[in-house]
Amino acid sequence: MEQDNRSSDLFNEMSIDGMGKQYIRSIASWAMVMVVVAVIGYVIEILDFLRDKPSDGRRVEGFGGLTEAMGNSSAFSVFFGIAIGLLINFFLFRFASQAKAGLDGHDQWKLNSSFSNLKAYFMACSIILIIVLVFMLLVFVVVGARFGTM
Amino acid sequence: MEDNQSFLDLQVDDQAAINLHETSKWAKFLAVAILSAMGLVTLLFVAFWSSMSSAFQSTDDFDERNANMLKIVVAVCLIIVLAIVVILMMFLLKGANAIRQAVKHKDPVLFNTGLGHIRNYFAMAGILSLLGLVFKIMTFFLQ
Repeated sequence: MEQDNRSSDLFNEMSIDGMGKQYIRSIASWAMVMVVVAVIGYVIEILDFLRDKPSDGRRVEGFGGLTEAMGNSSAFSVFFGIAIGLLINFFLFRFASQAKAGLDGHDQWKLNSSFSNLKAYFMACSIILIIVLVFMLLVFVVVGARFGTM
Repeated sequence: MEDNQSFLDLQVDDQAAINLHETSKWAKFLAVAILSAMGLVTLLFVAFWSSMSSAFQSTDDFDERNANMLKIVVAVCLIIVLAIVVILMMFLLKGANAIRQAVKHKDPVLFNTGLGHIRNYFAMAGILSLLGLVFKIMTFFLQ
């Protein structure tokens, strides 16, 4: 009896059933779609940046200086944004590919590794979000102080 | 035979449980941070609603009627974005909470529920990113 209990404790892991596998497969597929879409988006962004832009043809009827100011992005911001996006999507790609490989090959190690990459993806997203929020807060404080003195 | 099958099947072992627990913690943090940021943006928008017209007029060559129109357009866009982000983050939050509890109590039903929410989150994010890409391609070729 005691032997049985010890043995059931030893194998008392939560198994991933068919439904769970289907969900993980679906998550991996959508994650891969997101990665592919992001990479295509970065390519378009680079092409758009490299393309010659007419300097006086960007004014939109009724939205003159505002759209022009929003459309002008520096090389640094474009490539910095792409580098960060690639880093985040790298983790997502590794999650998607390893989860699929783990499920197809019944490979526990690959599945565990895929969960680790999903953790890294959410961690990277959270850290970058915090940095962006702090930066926006600083900009807001500076702009607010400037308008306050006017 | 059935025992052997279960032994050979994929499981949430100790390593996977630790990874999933950490993943759910970060996912929950991300969802809460994004929801808080959206709340803050909404509060700022409401606070600066009255002074927005003069800001538009000083930034650009708008008359008062156009500035009010732009204000309403911005408000409608913000409401749409807010609704989408709240739905998206609720999927992530629910999924993260369910997976955390499932790993803690070793509950496969709750684990599947959590995975279902995360699947919905990724599906919605994937569809939104596809729409974004279509919009990006359109603007690229129309410029």
